[in-house]
Amino acid sequence: MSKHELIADHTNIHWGFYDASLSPVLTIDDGDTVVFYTESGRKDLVSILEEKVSSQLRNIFLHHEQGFGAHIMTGPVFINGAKEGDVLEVNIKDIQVRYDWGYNGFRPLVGGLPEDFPYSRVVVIDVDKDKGIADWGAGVKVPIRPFFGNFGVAPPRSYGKVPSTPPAAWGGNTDNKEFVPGTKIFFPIFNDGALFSIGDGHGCQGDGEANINGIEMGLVGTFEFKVRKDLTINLPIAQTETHHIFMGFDPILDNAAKIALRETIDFLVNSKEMHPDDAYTLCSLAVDLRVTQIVNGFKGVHAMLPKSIF
Amino acid sequence: MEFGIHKIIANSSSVQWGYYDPEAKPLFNVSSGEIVEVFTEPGMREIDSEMKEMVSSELLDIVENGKRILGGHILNGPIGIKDALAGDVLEVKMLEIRPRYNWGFNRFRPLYGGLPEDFPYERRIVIDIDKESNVCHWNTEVAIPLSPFFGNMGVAPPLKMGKVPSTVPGPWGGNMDNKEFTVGTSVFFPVFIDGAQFSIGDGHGCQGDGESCLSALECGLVGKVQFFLHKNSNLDIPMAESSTDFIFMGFDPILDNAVKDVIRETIKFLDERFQIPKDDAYTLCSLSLNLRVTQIVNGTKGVHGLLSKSLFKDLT
Repeated sequence: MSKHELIADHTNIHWGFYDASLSPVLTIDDGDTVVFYTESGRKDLVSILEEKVSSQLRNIFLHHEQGFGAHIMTGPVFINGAKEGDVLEVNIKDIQVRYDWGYNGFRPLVGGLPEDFPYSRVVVIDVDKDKGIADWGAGVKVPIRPFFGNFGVAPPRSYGKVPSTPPAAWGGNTDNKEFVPGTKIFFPIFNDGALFSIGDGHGCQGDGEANINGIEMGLVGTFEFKVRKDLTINLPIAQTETHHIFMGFDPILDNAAKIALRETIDFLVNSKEMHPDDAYTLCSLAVDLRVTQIVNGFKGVHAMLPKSIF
Repeated sequence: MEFGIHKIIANSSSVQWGYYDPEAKPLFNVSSGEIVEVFTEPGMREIDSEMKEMVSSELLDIVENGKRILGGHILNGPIGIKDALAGDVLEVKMLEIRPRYNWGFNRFRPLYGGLPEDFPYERRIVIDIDKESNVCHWNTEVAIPLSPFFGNMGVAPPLKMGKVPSTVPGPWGGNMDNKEFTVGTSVFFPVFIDGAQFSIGDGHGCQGDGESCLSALECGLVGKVQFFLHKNSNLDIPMAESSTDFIFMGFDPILDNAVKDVIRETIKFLDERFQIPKDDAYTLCSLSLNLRVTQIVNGTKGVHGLLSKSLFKDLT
């Protein structure tokens, strides 16, 4: 049960993609913990932020070309004993903001309302770690509630290099604001070693991530990894202290809602031994469908099943 | 000001069954500030032998003698609001909501609901309501906490629309099925005709966001609502305010469109109420607006956005 540390720099990140053929930057044992120091940033902000930009982030900009997506992913981490078909349990022990700055941007053709905002805008946001609030001068301060928007295992090798932009069976850009400390996320494993990567720290975000960004910022996350041979899943699922969370990803929200609903019913039938008809009724009475994000190409809906009713 | 409390007990002469109608005559008129107590019945098109033992004589009267048109919801009303004119805003505050009976039901049927492909048959179960413990249960191991609200309420639609089905939500309100509309919440409606003509029903003992299978815990409720008329105010579609959040709504057959409507409503509100420039409002939506699926089962689906009022404590 060792504890490892990975501080993002140009030697241990991949920028904008997932790829099963990447060489691991760290190998750990089942049960180990890793503290990840992640970076978020844009080259065009360096001149505005000046000395606030770490030397590691400068080096990343210097040595890497951005891939299909925007996310600076730290990893991959090889977990000994993990085999294709197993499940990786990722236990979020702690998340802290790393810097006193973050940013939020939107740009043409993407985001929730591309018709209404056909131009680029980025704001640098001051993050007050002690007070737990963030401020960009709009007269409104928002509370901080950090989580990682993008993490997961490597996709199947046959996929090659895939963009970090959509959420998918391997996790990826789930942008699920429920993934705070105390949450366990379970990923299907597609490659030996699982090959876990993480990035895209969000200081806070609303359900939906309306304009395409949260407060994009560097975070420090402490994650414990366990290989589960006793589980089989097709899509990531999660458990917070209070809820089971099931996710649907689809370019059309209506379909994503159906996927999340089917995942919930499958769980109730298989793990709680409920009749499907009762499970369907239970969903109608007690399961909350929420819009995870509408901005990643594949949109997300997640279903929140309260543990307290059992 | 002191007012007597008006009451509407649902029966065949005090409800609109399945529709909103801009030509319906009000049961009575109230002034701004007045309170009305409603005793509602769940929507049922027929009463089978299992239900017959449980239902009230009033519900029997409605089903036997009432005239159902278009939809299925039994709506108490309409209530006329004195001095309300088209273009005003009607605030309806939920003062009290409690289950009326110790039973409710849940039903799904072919071609409707969130997963019609997976459940191509009809099923109805009677659900016990335990008012003491504030939970409901049926023959499973789960006990679900009650959080009662009215799924269907609204003003009369514009005159030119004529009667509209109670099935869909729209600018007049209607079948919003928004589980946030519990006690303490005010719902604001645009007024389309003189008197506003408010109706209410479709009690839900509890419901998840989405109302996945088509119906919630359908049950009779007792509610007290207070009306406030706002002149010099305007709205395009209903919004609400709970003790903690501003609530914005979007209605569209496609969720992807409904969600856009909500973000647009929120940005418009942030400009009008707090003078927040729209670029900042868009960023604020991304950071703090929580978009939820209200319901996926009413033909016109719903998304709502919750924006914490605490964000604005320094501005108000």
